[in-house]
Amino acid sequence: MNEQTHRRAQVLIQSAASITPDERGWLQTHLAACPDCRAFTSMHKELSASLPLAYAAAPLSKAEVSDRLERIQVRVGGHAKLAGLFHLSRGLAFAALALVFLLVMLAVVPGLLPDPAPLPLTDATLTPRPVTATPSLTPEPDATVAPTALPNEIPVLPPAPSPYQSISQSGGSIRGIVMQGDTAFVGMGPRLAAIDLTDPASPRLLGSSPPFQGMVNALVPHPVDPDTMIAAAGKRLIMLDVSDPANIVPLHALELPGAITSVALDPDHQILYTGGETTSRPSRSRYYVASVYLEPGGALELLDQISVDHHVTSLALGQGVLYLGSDQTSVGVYAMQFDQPGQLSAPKGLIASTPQEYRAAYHLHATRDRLFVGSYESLYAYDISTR
Amino acid sequence: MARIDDMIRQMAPDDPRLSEALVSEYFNFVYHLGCSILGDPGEADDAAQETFIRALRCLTSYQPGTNFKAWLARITVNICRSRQRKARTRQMLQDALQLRWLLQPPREQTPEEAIILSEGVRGMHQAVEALPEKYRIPVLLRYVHGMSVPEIAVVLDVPEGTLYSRLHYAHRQLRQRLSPSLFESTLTVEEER
Repeated sequence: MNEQTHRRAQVLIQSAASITPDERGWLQTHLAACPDCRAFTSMHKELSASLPLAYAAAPLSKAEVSDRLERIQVRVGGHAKLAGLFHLSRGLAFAALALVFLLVMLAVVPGLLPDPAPLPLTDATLTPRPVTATPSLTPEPDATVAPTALPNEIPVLPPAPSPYQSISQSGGSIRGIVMQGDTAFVGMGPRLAAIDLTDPASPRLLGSSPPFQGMVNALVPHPVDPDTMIAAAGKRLIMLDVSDPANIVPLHALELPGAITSVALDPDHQILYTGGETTSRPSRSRYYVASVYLEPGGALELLDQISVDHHVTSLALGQGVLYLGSDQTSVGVYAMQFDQPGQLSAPKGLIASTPQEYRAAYHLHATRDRLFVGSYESLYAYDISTR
Repeated sequence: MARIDDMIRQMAPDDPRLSEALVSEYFNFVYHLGCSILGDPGEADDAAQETFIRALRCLTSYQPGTNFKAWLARITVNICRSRQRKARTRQMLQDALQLRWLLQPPREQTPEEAIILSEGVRGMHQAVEALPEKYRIPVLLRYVHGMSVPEIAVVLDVPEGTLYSRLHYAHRQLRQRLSPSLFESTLTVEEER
């Protein structure tokens, strides 16, 4: 057996899924007689089985990928603006040089400028012209032009080819929606916007808040005050007066230790639990959970705060227990018991997660007797009625 | 893949819907590829963001209908190599100044690493990490990320024959490291230049 025979065998081993029956037969015959290529095959199988485990890495959650998308878009947009300015300035400089060159040439080279046209000889007798009224500088109103108004109609996209037809579309990154009657309050980029959905096929933007320092990541209605909502934007919780959707007014803000990644509302005690991280780089991040009391129409009061050693991807409250979702590869869900509402304690691992059975909890939802865990590719339900 | 190619054909490179589609589809692949090459999630995260920024800025150089994933992987590998070179330079500087103990405290073991230990595949991991870069990266692309040899040839911009040679020598070295008694090769394939 020569080198080419071994090479052919190893090429076929590498592309085993797509080889023909004849090639497979030839390969089996060759392997039966060649210890080197058998060793190659066993190593190939060993590597295929072991290396995905040896290099397993927890995928970033959808929220984290969205966060990275925003950063990428900001940096790509910033580069495009800079590049545009650079091209503009380069163009202007070139035009200025060309103008200077042209003027110099006109001044230096005789004959380039055309001779001035001779003045026409006319009769010295001037004919008086009738005097007309000076036109008014104020234009007459044009009945055919409607007054220009700021557009508040949201453009409707053509239906997408899917079982669900899109009725309409607006805005960019939407992270939270709260409905009040026919009005939808949505976290739209760094703002809270109110959209009138009386006619779902033609939604109208009623108004929006001033921009916050950070994208709105979650939105919850105040449990007792229907005119108030709380938005989580960046590292701040912001209480907003939404009694007039056309004029959304921020009332109070509370700054937490880091960017808020998840929230869970305890409506009975008017407490909002938040999870977050203090830096954006995973290797250097510190994570926390905080509890905040929501005074009706009043301030946001920080009740308690603790550090946790894992990324809090989601939160849910059920049966007096706060569930913390994690995207670790060792624990998927933690549970935190309370001595009294809002008083936090160290979370304990509740649902295991391994690279083989990955249970990262990107979304949590608790009912009276069930905890639903939205994970990487599956939805799991756990019985929590006996806890 | 065809959907992504259609979007690239139809949308302007600075269209936010295009960047959203690309990042949603491929960020975790690029991040995982960065993790496997760099061995540090934070560095991999930064490298993944840099990859997409570079990809979106030079998207016009991608030819729809070829292989976008391989094109993206090529950018990722180049960025990771560049970061590794910088890291090595930093390391050499720190070693030279004998400040390593001061500047870089020992890193705690991550849960992922603990699992690797418990699964008994640490030997395999260490053997692959000890390979020279030109053998290690083809092995990672082939066995961790499941890319075919023709795809890896696009990523690394080397002929397929060269890649088969590199994989062959990677196998030999791994066999030597993992179980010397199994190593009984009589192959005479010359190492490519």
